[in-house]
Amino acid sequence: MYPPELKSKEIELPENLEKNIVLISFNSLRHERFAYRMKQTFGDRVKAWYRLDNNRQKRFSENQSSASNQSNKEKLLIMARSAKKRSRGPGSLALAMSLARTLHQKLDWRHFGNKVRRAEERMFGRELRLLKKDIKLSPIDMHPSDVSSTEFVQEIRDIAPYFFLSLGGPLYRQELLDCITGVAINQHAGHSPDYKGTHTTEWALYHRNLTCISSTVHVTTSGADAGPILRRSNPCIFPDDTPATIFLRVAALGTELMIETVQSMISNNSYVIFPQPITKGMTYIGKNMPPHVLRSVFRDFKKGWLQDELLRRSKF
Amino acid sequence: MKKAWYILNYHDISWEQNEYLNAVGESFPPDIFSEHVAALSNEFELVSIQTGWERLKKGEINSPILSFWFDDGYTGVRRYAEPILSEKKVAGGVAVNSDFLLRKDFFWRLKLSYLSNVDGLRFLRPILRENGYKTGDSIREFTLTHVNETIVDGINKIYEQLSSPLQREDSWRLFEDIDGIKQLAAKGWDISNHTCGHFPLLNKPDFFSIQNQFKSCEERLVKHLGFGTTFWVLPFGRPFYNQLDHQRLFEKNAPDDKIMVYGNDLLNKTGELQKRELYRITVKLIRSDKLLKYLKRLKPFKGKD
Repeated sequence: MYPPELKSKEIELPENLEKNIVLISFNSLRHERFAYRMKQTFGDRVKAWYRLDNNRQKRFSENQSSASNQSNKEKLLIMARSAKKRSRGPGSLALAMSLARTLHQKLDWRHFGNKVRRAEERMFGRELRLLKKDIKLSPIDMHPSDVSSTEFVQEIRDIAPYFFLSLGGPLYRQELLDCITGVAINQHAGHSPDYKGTHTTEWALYHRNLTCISSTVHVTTSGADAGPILRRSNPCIFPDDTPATIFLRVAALGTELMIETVQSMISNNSYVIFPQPITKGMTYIGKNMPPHVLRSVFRDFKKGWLQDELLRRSKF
Repeated sequence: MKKAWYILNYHDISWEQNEYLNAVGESFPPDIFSEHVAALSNEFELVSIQTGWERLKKGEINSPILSFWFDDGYTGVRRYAEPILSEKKVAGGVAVNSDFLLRKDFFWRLKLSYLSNVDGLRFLRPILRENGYKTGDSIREFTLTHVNETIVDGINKIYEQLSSPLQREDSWRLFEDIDGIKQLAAKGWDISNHTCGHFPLLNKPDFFSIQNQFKSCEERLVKHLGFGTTFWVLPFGRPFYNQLDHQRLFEKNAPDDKIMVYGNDLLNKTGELQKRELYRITVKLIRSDKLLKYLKRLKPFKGKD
């Protein structure tokens, strides 16, 4: 749907150009579903799918060293430095406690990540297997840091895509976005402008704000999820859902909203945008998420908050 | 499971449940629906509405059979439910309201849901009070039992004040259009009549208003789709709510070729008493194991008192 609180603006799209598509996503099942659904809907318009993987070797050499190339010792050192920054006072005890908190947080996220992967298989596994049976789509694998390389920008410039559709990924350089002949669109698992950045579904759950469990499809700009909104809507939540399944529902909805948006842009040369107010909302950064947030969300779910909230919403 | 025809009633199947739908709870996520279909296909023979009806008429229900019916004509049915069912090589049924299908008037219950989301119900309460509403009563329930033209006008007026023309235009994307319904029909789906505007007609057993709502819808469907319907699906077919009065009137007066569809969570078995009506089971937001348990407990229609 359109965001009711924002002002709309009509934009004309360039005409007489081939409306070809380049996709960019990560490599989990929800990201693969995104790519295959696009290919299923738009067929030969899809010219390339760049699949990002943190564990991949870089395609282009000019970039700085990536996390995957770091040794365990280096990773521990980084963690210790971050713990030191966060320690709540001087002395080794404060540092040790901060380190324990950092480790705990990492374990919480790893645990959550495993839950997401299991739920992904349950929710999308079958659908994706069927899609893969019918559709031929070969990804170009690369490391996320490759996105910022001049070689990648040149590759995109050569394709000259009309649509550059992304799910996840790093921030895109303006130079790259300038290569798009039509429009670059991103699907964000959050309620922009209120919740921009990362882990926005978890933050909205932490705030017990079901209205802000949303998927936003927006024009990609060099800012995080800050581009003009094209569509935004809420997922269909099931009473038995967990934080992991809710996040995946948001992702699945985003893909469907993206399809609708692109379909409408292919058939009409104008579209409605809703610029995001600069002073509204918050950009959440993954590293800034305190450890208690995720644990509070799990605690709420264990106590049946979701069922109660869904019931409350239906009683008017 | 019993040797009967089980008809499951869903509404929208979609990943989305926006402000128009979240307060009325009409949507079902595709992954859960897919799980239902997989579990049900192990227990039942899945059949189309037409096949089920033929077998019921001929008295040939020798095993548990099951069909899927989707009310109100949401776009999610074609997008998500149809591919899931076609994998099992079965077609469903969709009950459409001509006002939504032809973009004449948006579903008043969804307007209420929207108003509930944007704190617009406070403007509606004074209008409802004039019609007997008491502060603290559930608007959801009150409007279902007391809806009249004044209330509908009030909802429309407040909805127009609190939504932009762009939003109202965009909201139609929730409902299927003529092309979409034709696509479903071409795939063997049964298209049924669900009245023009989905009002709770059972509240006043006034057959003529019921017939008018169905008759106008039928005329429009014939005009725009090029074919008529066999099944007339009662809106808000709530269990035994003035239904006996309605059934008697219907049997006496309705065209001979129409079959009335109710929603009493009953099974359909061949019998003398069940000639021109069908019963459906409203599916709640539960997992497939709970759904199967629930279906096992259901009983067939036993006739009218």
